[in-house]
Order: sequence, then structure tokens, then C-alpha cells
Amino acid sequence: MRPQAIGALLWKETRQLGRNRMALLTAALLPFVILFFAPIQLLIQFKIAGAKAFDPSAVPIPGLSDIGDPLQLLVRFIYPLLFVIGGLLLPSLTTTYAIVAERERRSLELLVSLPVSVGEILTAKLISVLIVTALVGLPYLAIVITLLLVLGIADATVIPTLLVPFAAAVTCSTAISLLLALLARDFRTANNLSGAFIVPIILLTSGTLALVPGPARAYGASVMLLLVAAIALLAALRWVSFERYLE
Amino acid sequence: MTSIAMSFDATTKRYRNGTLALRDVSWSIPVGARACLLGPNGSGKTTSIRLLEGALKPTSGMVRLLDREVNGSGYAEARMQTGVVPQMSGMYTDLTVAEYFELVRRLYGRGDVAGALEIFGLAEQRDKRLAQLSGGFQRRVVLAAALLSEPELLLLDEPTVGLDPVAAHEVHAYLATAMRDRTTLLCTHNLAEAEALCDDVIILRNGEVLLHEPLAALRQRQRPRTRLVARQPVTTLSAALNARGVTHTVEDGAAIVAIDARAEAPSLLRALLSEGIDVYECVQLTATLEDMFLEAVQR
Repeated sequence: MRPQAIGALLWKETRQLGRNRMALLTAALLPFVILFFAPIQLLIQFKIAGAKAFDPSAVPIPGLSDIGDPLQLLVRFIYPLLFVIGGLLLPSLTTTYAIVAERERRSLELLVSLPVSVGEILTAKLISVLIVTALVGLPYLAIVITLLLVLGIADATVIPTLLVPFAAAVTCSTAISLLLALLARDFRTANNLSGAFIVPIILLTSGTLALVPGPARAYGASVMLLLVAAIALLAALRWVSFERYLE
Repeated sequence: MTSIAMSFDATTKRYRNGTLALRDVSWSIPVGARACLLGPNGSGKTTSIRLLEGALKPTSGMVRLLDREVNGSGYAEARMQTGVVPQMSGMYTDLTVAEYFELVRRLYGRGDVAGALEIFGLAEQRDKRLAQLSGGFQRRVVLAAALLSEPELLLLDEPTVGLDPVAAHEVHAYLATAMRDRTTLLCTHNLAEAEALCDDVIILRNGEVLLHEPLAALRQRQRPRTRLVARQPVTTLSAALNARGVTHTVEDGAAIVAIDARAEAPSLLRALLSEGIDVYECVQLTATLEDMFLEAVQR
């Protein structure tokens, strides 16, 4: 792969994403709701409700047995899950759009007529998706983490337990979306399939978070997400060809 | 410097859905040649172009471009010397003409965007989105993009398909200039276009090479034909020709006889006139590419 070609394609992708109102709206609204509004709203509710609302130690779930404080439940279980959901949803639409749209408007033929390889095209698309995801997701994560630190709800050790699952979820979602975008014949099918994959992964994540005890729970969930990503990526590499699109 | 511009060596391409697009095909064209790839729909023309541009991989065999195996070592450099005009493709709704040219310039690492806009009469369209342009302008954009980097080699896949006659004429004018001194493979349905722009012909049918020859040699091999028209009904002329044992066909009120006008027509005309057949037109017919193509595919 040639960095010059990837750079040129990345330039094209960012121009196009910047002009797609729907993608921009989704990219702006979704993280606001999942990564900012929901965490803050939950934080306020948990703060107001205090210790009386919920006693996690009374729940016979191994992963939650070390949590004795509802605010810690929020920080160590609910927030990682929420950030994983955000990380799964955020890049999926953009990845699918970036790849399937080329097929739907039949511009792929125009693109492959230029001196670029399929690998370079896909790499540029994935990098552009990751840049957009980082740009719209990380500021909200930073705000939430800063709030937790400032309010004294968590110490600095909480930072990787929130960021690592988020990054793993983004990787997982991007890999799955890549696979589905290569396999699906249109945008709607790709999105439907994407939904069918993401829901079980959310359930798996919550299961892992609930079953792995102690601080390792976030990393356990991250490993699980990265495993799914690796499987999806291996399957996608088998299909990394626009042949289906050009048949 | 390589002397073979592009080659297919025992190449077969079967798509994942089972369609056999090319069947053990072998052909090559030398540097400097201007060849046309002809064939009915589904004969494997576009598949050949896509194999050359590296968008598809052959199922078996080898495809080479400027002496480099496609998608092998050194192919990227060969590809950087190749401009491709794809078949009527979709156009970006979110990229302007100038941006698309800039993308092409960045990918090839060279090219004069302002110059291309000027030469191809696209200066006024520079800020329009590609999808907003008319069909004629879209083809101009694609052709200009293929030539932006001044490539050694041009691959043209149906460059005028879907265009009205005026737009097609404009594109032909650009093509004639672009193909001068440049190795070109023109894939087309338009036989007049192929005849006007190319020297070599490759005819594909059902994924196989039916014929690969220089156009001039193909013409030479064609049997001479002469068109005769008489004042009498063509049936009378036909009967007179039959009586003399002259093989002929009847088309549009004329008799098409299989003779060389210069060598054989004078004696035939003398004989017909002496029999009272008033032949007033005698024209040697030059076989068109269409005739040769139809003869080849109907063989």
C-alpha cells in the first residue's frame, strides 16, 4: 500500500463526509445522546438518589460483587457498557455508507479506474471513519471523565477502563461494518445486518462486564470485542475484493 | 523499454456467480498500437479492461500491463503510466470537477489541473458537482482525468456510449488527439468509432478471441465486391448475371457481385450492355469494419 494513494483517497473521503448532511447529523447527534446526555443524566440521577436507590452487593452477580456503591456501579459497569454501545453504533453507519454508497451510485467504477488498489481504497475509508469517530466521540468522553475526576467519584485509574472498551468497540464495529458492507448488496441490507450483529454484541458485552470480577471487567469486555473484531476482519479479508460490486 | 504494452496469457476469468467471462484467452498488443476490442454484449470486453486496471483478478493465467504482471511487483508503476476511461459509470454527487481532478493529480503525483480544465472546455464547470453535469460533460471529465497525467497508455471502455451524436462527435475529436502517439486499447460497440480511431482489431465472442489482426490485413483478406445498378428491374440484372454464372446477391435494388471492379468489371459491363442491360452504376465496395465484424461473429 502506498501512503501517497491513501493520503489522496483520505482527502477525498473527508471532503465527501463533510458534505453528507445525514452522516454529519448522525455523527453529531448519536454521540451527544449516548456519550454525553445519557451519562450526565445518569450521573445526576445517581447523585440525587444516593445509596438508598440500589445496593449492588445484594445482587448475586459475580462481576458486581466488589461494587458496594451505586456511583461505582455507574462508573465501573454502566458507563463502560454505555461507551461500548456508543463505540459500536458510531462508526457502523459511516463505514457502511462510505463503502456501500460507492456501489449504489455506481461510482466505484470511476474509482477503480484510477491507480489505486482495493486495499488502499478500503484503508482510506476506514481511516476516515476512525477520524470522524474520534473527533465526535472523544470530546464527550473527555468531558464525562473530567466530571468524574472533578467530582471525586473516580480516580485516574478509571480513564483506561472507559477508553479501552470504547476503542475496542469502535474497532469491533468498524470490522463488522467492513465485512457487512463488502457482503451486502445495498445500504439497507448492510444496515439491517449491522443491527442484527450489534445487538448480540451489546448483550455479550454486558454479560462479560457482569461476570468478570474486579477492575479486569472492562478489559475482559475489551478482549471479547477485539476477538469479535479479529474474526470479522479475517472474514472480511477473505472478501476484500470489489468483485461482487463489479460483476 | 518494453515492447509489449499489454498481454493476456491463457487467461480465464470466472466470476463468483459462476459466469465465465473469459475462457483461456491469449492476446497482446505492442507499444504504440491503437487496438480496438470488439464483441457483442457479454463477450468479455469490460472484464478485459477491469483485469488490466487491476480491479479484478484472473481465475487462471496471467495479465500484464507494460510488461508487469497485474497486481504483481512493479504493477503500481505500470498503472501510474496508464489512463483509464471507464464505461459510463455513476458520478459523485459530493465532489466537484476541480476536486475530482485534484484527486486524480494527487493519485498520479503529477498533472496540470488548470490546463486540463482549459483544454477540455471545463473551466466553467470546475465548481459543479460531477453528477450535475450533462452526459457529454461527464465523459469529457472522465477523458480529461484519464489524460491529466499524460499517460503512455490509454484504456478506453465505451467512451461514447449513451451520448447524443453531437456529444459523441466532440468526444471523438478529443479521442483522436489523445490517441495520437499513445498506445490505446479502445473497447467499443461503435464500429465506425473503432474504424476511425484504431489500426488493430481484436474480436471477442463468448469470452474467446475470435480474431486479432491489423485492420488493413483484415481488409485485404476481404473478397472484393462490386455494386451494380441497372435501369431495368434488378430481377432482370440478376437473371443476366445468373446466365453468365456470376455469383451475386441482391440488396436494395442493386446486385452485389463478388468481383474486383478494376480487374473484372470492364468485361462484365461490356457483356451486360451488349445484352441490353443498361448498367449505369458500378462501384467497388470497401468492406467496412461492420461487415468484417459481422462476418467474424457469424462464422
